[in-house]
Amino acid sequence: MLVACGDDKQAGDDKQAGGTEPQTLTISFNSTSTWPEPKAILTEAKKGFEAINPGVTIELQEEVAADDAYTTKLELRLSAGNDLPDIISIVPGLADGWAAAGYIQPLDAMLAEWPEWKAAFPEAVRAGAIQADGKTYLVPLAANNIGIWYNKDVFEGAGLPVPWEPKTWQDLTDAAATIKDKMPDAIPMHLYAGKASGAIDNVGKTFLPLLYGTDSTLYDHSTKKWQPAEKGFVEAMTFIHDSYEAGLTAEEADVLSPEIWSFIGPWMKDAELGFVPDGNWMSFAWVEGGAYEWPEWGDRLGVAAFPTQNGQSAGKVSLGYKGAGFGIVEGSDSPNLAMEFIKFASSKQSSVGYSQRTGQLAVRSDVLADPAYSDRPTVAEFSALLEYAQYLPGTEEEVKVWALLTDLIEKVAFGKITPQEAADSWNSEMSAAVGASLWAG
Amino acid sequence: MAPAIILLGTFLAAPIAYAMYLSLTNASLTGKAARNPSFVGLDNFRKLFASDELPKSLLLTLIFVVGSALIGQNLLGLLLALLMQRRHRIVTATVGIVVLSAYVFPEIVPGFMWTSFLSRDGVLNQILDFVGLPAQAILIDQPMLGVILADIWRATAFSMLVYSAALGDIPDELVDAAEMDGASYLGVLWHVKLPLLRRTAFTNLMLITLPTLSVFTMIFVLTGGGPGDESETLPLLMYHKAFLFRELGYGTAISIVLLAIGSMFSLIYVITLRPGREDRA
Repeated sequence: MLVACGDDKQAGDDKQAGGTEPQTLTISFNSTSTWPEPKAILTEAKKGFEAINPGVTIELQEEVAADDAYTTKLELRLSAGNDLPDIISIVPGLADGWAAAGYIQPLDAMLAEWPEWKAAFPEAVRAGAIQADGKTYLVPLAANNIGIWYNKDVFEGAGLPVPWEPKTWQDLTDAAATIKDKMPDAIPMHLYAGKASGAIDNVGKTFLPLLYGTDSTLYDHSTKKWQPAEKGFVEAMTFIHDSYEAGLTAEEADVLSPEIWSFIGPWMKDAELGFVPDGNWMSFAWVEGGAYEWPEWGDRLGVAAFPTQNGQSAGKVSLGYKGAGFGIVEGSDSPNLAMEFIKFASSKQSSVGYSQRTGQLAVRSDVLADPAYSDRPTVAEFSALLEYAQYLPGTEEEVKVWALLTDLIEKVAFGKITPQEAADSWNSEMSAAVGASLWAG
Repeated sequence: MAPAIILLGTFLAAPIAYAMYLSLTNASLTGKAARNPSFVGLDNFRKLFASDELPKSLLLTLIFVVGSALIGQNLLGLLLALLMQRRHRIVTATVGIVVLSAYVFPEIVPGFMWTSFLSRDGVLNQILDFVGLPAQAILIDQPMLGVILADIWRATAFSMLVYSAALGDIPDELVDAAEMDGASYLGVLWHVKLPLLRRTAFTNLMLITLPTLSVFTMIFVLTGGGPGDESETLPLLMYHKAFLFRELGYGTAISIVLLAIGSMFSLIYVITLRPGREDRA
């Protein structure tokens, strides 16, 4: 029950944030040495919020850990149920599972009382934030998708056209082969394949853009079932296998490293990499204050759309990944105060800073309209790709799908299993992994 | 007796009982099954024994235990104990400290040390480069070899101590008598010392097999069970299923299998060590 702090009316505070709730908030999040968020946004929001609300104390509980390890620890903590934080950062892919497990609380009632929710967040964004159970658990800070970053210096050195617009998978292979031939000091292309750095890498940046460029999909949104592996699955895996076998990719030890995503920054800056399918957020490394600050990044790097297999259909593929947002843990004794903080952290000013630091695409309409945001390099290119973006459902069994796929991709890339064997594995294990009712095989 | 039973009950029996219960459910770290795990009987075990990953993981675990404990730690410990017999106190003290330090550190320390030793730009490759030999990527090409070597390095101290104590117990008269009969050092070793060490050897094996069976941190830090599943012993498989796949029920089923294997080993040793089976030298 609410603790009796009701007498703490501060001078100058007409409506004390959170009413009679305890005036402290604990926020749990993880940080790594190169990725700035959500540490930066929370630190700034804490300063600002405490300044406006004297009497409120915010405790930031930072865990220095990689995403996967931190998530495991957080889930254990949430399932244990004692000493819970009030606010956590929620990645949409995990929200369904956490909601079903009762770890987080729905925000619908509090969002209904927040005029900015309807005013500044477009309908598509608000609809996209609704989980499988029909409720909303987080306020999204950003959106993301996948494109192909390429280094213009490497391309020009190899005699390849700039701007580059690959139309088919063969164009990708040809460009890589040309770079390998003409620029031997550069890695021609990086296709994420290792599983140690997390599923978003080899599944989300390499495999899915390939798969969705064939006529196959992984998930049918209308029947709500995961799809069996057919020709497209095998061909996507074959492309990965062949690229590795032809030596067009980075060294095995690097590819298998859990830190591989942080190598792109220095590789691109030093013109040691030709191209890489990756997320819009990779600019975090080169922006002002980033780990590999590079003022010319906007000029020296280009963004191309990932092509479909033979240039068919729309010709371009992108995978959309909804950005993380903050949510409130079930059982928090200051939910209203927590919501006030979340509103503050999701404000226009806070969101602009977040997008600038992380390279993630803004979702608020007032940020999208602000030239300080939209004039920045690659924002226009990646925003244009949103039109072609495919999404996975983010449902609770999806973590298992990712765990299964990330393993298969690594094995195919390094020749441990054949693409057909990977497809067979997928077909035989998915029913048990997601349950027969969600499997179309 | 009662306090001991209570302690054993709380800290040993209760977690085991809870693990057994969990293995019969579909408990999970996220999703509906996290809030309301339901009883699924022996489904987890059925799925486990029908899976492809169990035989491979069992084989890798066997290789690891035989390589690290039965052969590596056992023989190296014996060798070190023999070499240190009747040496100068300073030598025994220095060797003792070095070997023991490796043992006393938490597994993660030698784990990181060996990662830096075996990695692409690590010390091993620097030495090979200096000598003109090609660089090795042991953790990628021969992951089991890498983890076995690292584990032997870390854990040999225990065997060394056990054998040192046992060798010290061998009466000098027996050794002197054999030498007077014309036996060489190796002759003395083979005909006098080793037979007397047989019981010690079994005890030592029993004491090092079980901890080696459950080695997790060392392998996790060195290879993470990879590349792929090339070094995914049972503890690693358990971790992957319980925490990466979030299937706590299935993961605990694997831990019960590990428990059963450990119990089997213990039973073998206990039966072998029963009084009345010992050869008299």
